[in-house]
Amino acid sequence: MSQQTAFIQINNLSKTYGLFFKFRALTDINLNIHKGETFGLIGPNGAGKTTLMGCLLGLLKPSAGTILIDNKSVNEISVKALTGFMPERSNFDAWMIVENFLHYHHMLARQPESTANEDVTKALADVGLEPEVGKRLIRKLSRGMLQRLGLAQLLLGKPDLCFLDEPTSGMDPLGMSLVRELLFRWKQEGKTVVINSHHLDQVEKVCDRVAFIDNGKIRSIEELVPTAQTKQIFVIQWAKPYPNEDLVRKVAQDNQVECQSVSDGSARFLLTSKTQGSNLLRAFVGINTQIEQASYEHKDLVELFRRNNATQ
Amino acid sequence: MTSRTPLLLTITVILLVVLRIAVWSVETSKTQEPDGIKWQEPSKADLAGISDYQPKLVFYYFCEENSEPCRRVNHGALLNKNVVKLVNDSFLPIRVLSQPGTELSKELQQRFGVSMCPAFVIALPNGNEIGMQEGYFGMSARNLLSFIKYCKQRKEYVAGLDYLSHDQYEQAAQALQTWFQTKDRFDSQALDGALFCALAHMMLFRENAAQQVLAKIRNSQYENDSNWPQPLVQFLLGKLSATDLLRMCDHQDNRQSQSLYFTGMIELRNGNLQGAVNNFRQVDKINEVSPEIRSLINGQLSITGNPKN
Amino acid sequence: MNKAIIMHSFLRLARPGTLMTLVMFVLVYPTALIAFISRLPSVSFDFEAFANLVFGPMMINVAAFTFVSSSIGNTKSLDDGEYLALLFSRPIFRWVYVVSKWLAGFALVVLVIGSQTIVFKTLLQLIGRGDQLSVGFIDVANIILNSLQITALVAMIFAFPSRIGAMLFAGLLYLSFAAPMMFNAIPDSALWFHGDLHNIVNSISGCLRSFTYAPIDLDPYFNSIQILWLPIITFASNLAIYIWIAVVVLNNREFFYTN
Repeated sequence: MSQQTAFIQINNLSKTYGLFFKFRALTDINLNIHKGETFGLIGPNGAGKTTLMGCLLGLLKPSAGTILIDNKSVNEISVKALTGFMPERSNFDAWMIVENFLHYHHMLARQPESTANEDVTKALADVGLEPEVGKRLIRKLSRGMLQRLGLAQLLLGKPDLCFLDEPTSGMDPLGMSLVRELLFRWKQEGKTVVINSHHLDQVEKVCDRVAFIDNGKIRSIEELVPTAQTKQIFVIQWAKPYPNEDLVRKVAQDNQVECQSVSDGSARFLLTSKTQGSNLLRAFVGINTQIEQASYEHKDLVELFRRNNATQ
Repeated sequence: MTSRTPLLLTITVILLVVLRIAVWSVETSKTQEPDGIKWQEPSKADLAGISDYQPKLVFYYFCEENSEPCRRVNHGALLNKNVVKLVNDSFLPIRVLSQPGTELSKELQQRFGVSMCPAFVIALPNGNEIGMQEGYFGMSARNLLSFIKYCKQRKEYVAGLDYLSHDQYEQAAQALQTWFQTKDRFDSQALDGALFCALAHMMLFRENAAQQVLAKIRNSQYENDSNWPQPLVQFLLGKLSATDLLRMCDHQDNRQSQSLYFTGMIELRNGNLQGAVNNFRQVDKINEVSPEIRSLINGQLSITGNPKN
Repeated sequence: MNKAIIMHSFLRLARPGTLMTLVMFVLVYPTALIAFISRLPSVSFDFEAFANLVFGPMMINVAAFTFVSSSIGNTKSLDDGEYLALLFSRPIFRWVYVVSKWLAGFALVVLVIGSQTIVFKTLLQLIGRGDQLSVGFIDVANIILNSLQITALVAMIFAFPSRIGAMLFAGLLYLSFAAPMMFNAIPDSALWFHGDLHNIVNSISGCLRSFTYAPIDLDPYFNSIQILWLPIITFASNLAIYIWIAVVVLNNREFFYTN
């Protein structure tokens, strides 16, 4: 992934608030986010995640450093045209009717007028809002519905780069799984996504990488999917009768995958790419072994979060 | 860049500001006043209201030197061709420049009750006010012309009452007749004029003329739905006694003072000087009267109540 | 100009609170004033001055501050303001936003004052005094020009964060009107510094005042013995300065959960 050209380049970014009593919200942030990547920003409250997202959206002015998106300034109209933003605070125009609000954002996003009705209906359906919700006043919507509306307005712009600030806060479990599904779909569509979230389990499931931010600084960047540099453990469990250890190791060798251990009907493999995992599975199915379960052994973000906070 | 100020807008602002400074410098450096209204300075004579030596009405303009609204009037309404012509032809224009420490301007302001600048006052040569217009709003040339025309009409009413207070009944009847006949609507002022006109005719023992005027009042569709002036009309026609008239005033000060004045004048006409003086003194105690009626009563009092008259 | 922003500004009129204010403006105020006037004797020049209560600069100012102010950049009240962080994450030039808001505000003010004038005229007609409120070409032109200027001024004030905008406006009013009036009331002899202090203060306040508020009246430009260019230049430059300041301020404002 490091060989890819960075889509978002943040160089020595610092942000200070206040005229007389200065408060440093971000200090020397250097970060590259690649095209098609789902990137998570995590850290405790007041760490500077929101400020960083504000700078990325061009809504806050960096005190020092530069941010380039697709090698252009964040305030370029062409960059804004490919950006979608779902804010944490759903303080939308409370007096508006949902459909009117979405039509308004459809126009603001410079989408063709001819597709407006179709796009609005589709956006509502995509975020799981019933068509009758479209006729309601925004002030009558629940917190979860407002979050979905926030997602719907983002979808209207058909963005290539999405910024989501606490996308699941206030949402019910159904809403949370909807966000997860959307994020997986966007990943398949090659959209670049930057998420700011406190729900570490969510981030863990959908993000390719995460940055731990604390006290305005990036403490560490963790890879959550395997690469050549950051191998990831892939665990397969079989139903009885278990394949013997030699067979397992041979299949691994044939697929150029390092087998770490084999015991009690399960084996641990070190993968350098996701395709290796699917190749392995295909091979084991091909020799008629009965696979019960197969999964990545995810890095425990909660543990990483604690560790990062402890190293300050 | 979405947050960049367009260069064209910045250049336009710079050019306009430069132009503004240039025009301001040129206009403020002009020492020559435009060939507009030929203003005169106020004098002590204005304060005493003894400008009887000239026949024209007096057009007072109260202004301040550094006041933006006054500057706007100077450069606006007062440069209008029609205003300039009308004021120069029909009035004696006096500009009262209000400056800290100038006593004359302060006293003139007090005399006419001017509370803010710019203000226009049109007065009879003897100082009796005909009309006043204060404040910047409404000081367009059209409004000023309308005000001047209105005052020129109203002059007859003020002058008529002035004549009446000085026992000049013939002139009073003429002026008041002109006043109410020029009014296209028989409003309260036209009605007042007609009543005083009838009174002037009565004082001249011209009952027929008085009856003709009173018939006009009776036939008019007066816009106020109250029946008020009718008892006065009945009194002047001799169909209602003075006591009944006063009883019908419903304890309203303005009606009472008007009735007392009318009954006093009729007493005066009938030669009952003491009765007339008593009535006028009672009116004097009631404060709810217009300035015109007040000066009228004061005039009558000085005539009838003063031993030398 | 952005069509979406203009349409949105007009839609804001449909809020219940704003609708009520609109009804007050266009219906209740004229009815109350005409009811009062119908009890007064008809005096022609009073009616001329009365026109200022219908479409004079004062009414235009009140309409602009009532209907346009919250629509620009004041997002203090989230119920009333707009979510500018979300808006400016869209592909919109901020100067286009300012100009669109200004022109939408201008159209709104003209609409409000125009409707109010029509209601006034109709009511006066009903009481038989319709001829006493004449609305001519100059009046219409004055309404248009003064609405353009006051909405630009409102756009400038409300482009600032709400507190700074309020302080700036109050400060300008104080320095241009209240302070010099007070100062002029002090006689020369009472000042520690003798000389042209009054003139200096008045010149400064006059300059500030011309930037703060300078409604234009086209009336003097018809039949005037001398055309004065300063009011025209002042009007045009004020318009450009207000919009320029609004654009510069909005370009430099930060809109991320800080509104």
